[in-house]
Amino acid sequence: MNEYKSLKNKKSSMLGIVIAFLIILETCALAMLFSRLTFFAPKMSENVFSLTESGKNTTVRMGYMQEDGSIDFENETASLPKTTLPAFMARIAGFALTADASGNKGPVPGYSVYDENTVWQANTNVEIFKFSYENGEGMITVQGSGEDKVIAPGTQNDYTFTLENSGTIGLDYVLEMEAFFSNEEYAIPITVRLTEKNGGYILGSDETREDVLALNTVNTESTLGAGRYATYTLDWEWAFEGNDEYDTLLGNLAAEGEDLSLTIVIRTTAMQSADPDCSDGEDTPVLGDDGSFVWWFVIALLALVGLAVVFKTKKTQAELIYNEENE
Amino acid sequence: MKKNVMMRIASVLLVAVMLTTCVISGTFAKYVTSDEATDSARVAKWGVSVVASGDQLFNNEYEDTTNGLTVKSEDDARVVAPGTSNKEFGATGLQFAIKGAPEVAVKITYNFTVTEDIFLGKGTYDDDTTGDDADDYSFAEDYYPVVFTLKKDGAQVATGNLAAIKTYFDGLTTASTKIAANTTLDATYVLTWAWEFGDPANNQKDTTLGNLAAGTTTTTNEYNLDLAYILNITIEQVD
Repeated sequence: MNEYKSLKNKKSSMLGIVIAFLIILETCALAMLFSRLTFFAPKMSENVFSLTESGKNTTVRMGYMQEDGSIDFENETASLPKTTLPAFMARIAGFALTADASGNKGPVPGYSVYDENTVWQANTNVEIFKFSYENGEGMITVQGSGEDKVIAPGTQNDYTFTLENSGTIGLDYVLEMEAFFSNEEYAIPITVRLTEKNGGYILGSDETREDVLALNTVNTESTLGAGRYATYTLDWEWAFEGNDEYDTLLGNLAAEGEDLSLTIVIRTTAMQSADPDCSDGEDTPVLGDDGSFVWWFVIALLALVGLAVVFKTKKTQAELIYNEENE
Repeated sequence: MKKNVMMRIASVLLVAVMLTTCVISGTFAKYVTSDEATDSARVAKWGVSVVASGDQLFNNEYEDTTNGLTVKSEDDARVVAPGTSNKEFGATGLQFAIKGAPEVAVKITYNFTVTEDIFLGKGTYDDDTTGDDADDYSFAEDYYPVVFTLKKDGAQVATGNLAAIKTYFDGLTTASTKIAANTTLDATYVLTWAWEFGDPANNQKDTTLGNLAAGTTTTTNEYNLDLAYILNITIEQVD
């Protein structure tokens, strides 16, 4: 009997330790949770243009230009994946934190980059350069003999691309560029300008152009409010009237089989803006998930019901055992 | 009873911790995406060449074994005379070749400049072939004794005096103002000359020219005893 009591006391002590641990854990969790809560405040963003008023969940659609000029879209809802349990639980738990001015039930991130022909993906080939070039009279003045795109004196092109925030939360993005020439012994006499849609120059100016390798210095950071976009234009040129002797040298080297290729890479990275005190009208993100209150309530209720059933069953069994012992 | 109460408390706390943890995990969920675009281009090929070859067109000494004729300059200057041509001293003529397959549009300019040409102007001259000072002869058109022949890839395309050759090159320039990109350029030209010997119709004129060169006769008509030309060929990209 004493041993039984001693065992019971040990179990009670352990249970008490577990309860204490859980209380501490829950306290810490609540403290961390409330320290990360923020409120949605719609603000204007400079240098970007409103696309739509994203009052509802926004659908991001990947589109591909067809030969007949139409666009073939792939519907895709830009939201957290529903396939993983943690995300699912996060969605349920996050409802209480997602009230915003428009009544959204949670943040839906969405981001895409595209030009007039292509929506960018992980590593997309775009048409910064061309296979052939025409002059003002419609005459093809430069054309590669094979399947390569070419550059030559007198060629130039403007490449415009758009960064779009199609979600309901603000995004921070970084725009980087890279340019390299395959032969380090020679320099390619191409100059560039990089502009934003509002006319601001990132590289060059109205009167000046930069060497193409200056693209390696491009590292622009900015923000996009929900439903807004930013457009950039890369303008490159190989002047027709330049150093004829050097231009001819490059052309002859190319004819002899030398590898003289210019490559330009444009890279964008977008992420949820984590700074609740962003300036210049950047949209502050709503953290958490857009979980349905109904799901949250149902699962909590089921958990409580389950616990009650378990305890009731155990109590009944304990009473039966007690009665049997006393009979 | 106490145990049951504690178990219930522990269970409720466990559920609360699970739910709170899920909520926190949602606050750490962060959307990050990146996209990249790339493009490359190579320098368009040029590789056009104009190569001149062949021997000099004129010499200071000629030997025609057929006619037993020998012509030799008094002062080693290059000369021409009836019966001479570039063949008489082994010269194959002035050759120049245009080759290449540029990936850009081009224009070719043939700038043939006639500095001067040998001719005897139309009019009346003393006939130095008869030995009678009273004899004379006349003709109505300028006489150019040196006849040039231009061939392209073996086919004759022009013949006559230097002006006739210039006319051909001027026409060629006009036709070559816009050659499309990726057009293969492959043409070989050969320029030769000859001063025909023994044509009775020209013996008097040839004799007059020779005497004028020697200074043994004079005339008030126009004439010239030298020839010279310059040929510049330029190939450039069209914008």
